[in-house]
Amino acid sequence: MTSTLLRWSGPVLLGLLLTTRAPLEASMLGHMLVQLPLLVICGALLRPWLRLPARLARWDGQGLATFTAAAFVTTYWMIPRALEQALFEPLAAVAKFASLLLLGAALPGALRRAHVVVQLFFVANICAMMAIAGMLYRELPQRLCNAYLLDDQTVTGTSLVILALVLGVAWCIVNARHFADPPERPDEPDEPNETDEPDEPNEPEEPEEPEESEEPEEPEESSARGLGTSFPRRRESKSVDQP
Amino acid sequence: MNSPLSSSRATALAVLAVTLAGVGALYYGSCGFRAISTEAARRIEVAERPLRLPAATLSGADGSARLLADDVRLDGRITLVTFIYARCQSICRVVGSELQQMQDQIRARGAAGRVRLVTISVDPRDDARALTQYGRMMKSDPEVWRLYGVADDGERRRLLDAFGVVVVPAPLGEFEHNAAFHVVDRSGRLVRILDYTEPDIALDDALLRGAQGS
Repeated sequence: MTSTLLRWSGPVLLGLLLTTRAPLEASMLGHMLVQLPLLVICGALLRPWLRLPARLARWDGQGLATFTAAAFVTTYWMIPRALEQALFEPLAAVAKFASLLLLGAALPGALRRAHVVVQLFFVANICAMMAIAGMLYRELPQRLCNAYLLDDQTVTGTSLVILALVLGVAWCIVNARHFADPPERPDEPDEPNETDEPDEPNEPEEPEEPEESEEPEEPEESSARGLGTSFPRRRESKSVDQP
Repeated sequence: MNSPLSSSRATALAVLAVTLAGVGALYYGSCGFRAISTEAARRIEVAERPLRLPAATLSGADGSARLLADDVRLDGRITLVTFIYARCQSICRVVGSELQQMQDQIRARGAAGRVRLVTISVDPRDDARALTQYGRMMKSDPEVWRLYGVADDGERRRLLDAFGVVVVPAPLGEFEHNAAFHVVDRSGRLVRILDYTEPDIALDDALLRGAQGS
């Protein structure tokens, strides 16, 4: 029942976002701080439908490619000119929807693969950028978008700063455990781990990993394993050669 | 069994590709890292590639109607175009008083034969009477400074689009729009856009272009 709900929440949200384009995009606040974040969430909810091939995870070790994309995508859509182009140019609107939905679809897997330090680097980076952009929006006496009012821009700036703070604090709360834990547990690095997402089939190169994929794990735990994965894997392949 | 690329190498390639695409997108989105606002980008683009203006019928404060292209061509002067609406209480007031001073400057420098001012209303409610009233309030001298409205909605929208002027309804029946001085040359091309806070630069630019042509 809940899984059906979850499965359909993505398409429903996408439908809502498509139909509410005009009212949401009528103000800069609705456009940048309601529509854009909801598109990322929608992308994440659409994962059961998108079926990203498991092989892609190889190209995204530690979620590095996804996080790099996240930094660029968030920066790009905070450029006032880019935001305004998405209002008037159909191609830009398509690019906006596609980039944010894909980012949302890739993020959960990337978070699961990424070590907490990698996450910290990118989360801090993106939040800092968002806060600085927000302060700029707040302080500038002239309008950045011709289609939006100056007051709207000021409120959007304040909201961007708040969102940056909320995102940062939320990440800290979710990952609070790691700050107390020792960075590596002694029993971990010897275990061969798989970097794939749990709901995807295993890669053929790691057949000795049987039931790992069946129970979904908390992101914190698996991300802690993330550091273990990249190194032992190499060691493991060496040991195969030795005998 | 193992695919030719190790995961770390594949990831490095992916990050490189994403970075290149991202930098390319930012380059495009910021007009070559030169502008983050639409207005700044519009000014850069016009300075680099002059814009031909679309056909629009201007209705004058005196009730006359003529095509913008004809008006520019027949007149033969460099035109500084500004956009206002008559009941504006904010920026247009500033622009209005700047225009007043520019009018005096043009006359004082004896440049009325080479440079002129044209102000076009963005408000459909501004008819000939409203424009005349505005002109009287601003002490506009029709030889140097003319006021126009655009009666046809479609034509007005096309004209504003071509100039890149976006008019947003604001509270209290006001509008917000990007105010600037638009330099239009003798052949009816929009060649430069200068901020409304830089009337001196705008006038110098127009005077220079006016002197060059003659």
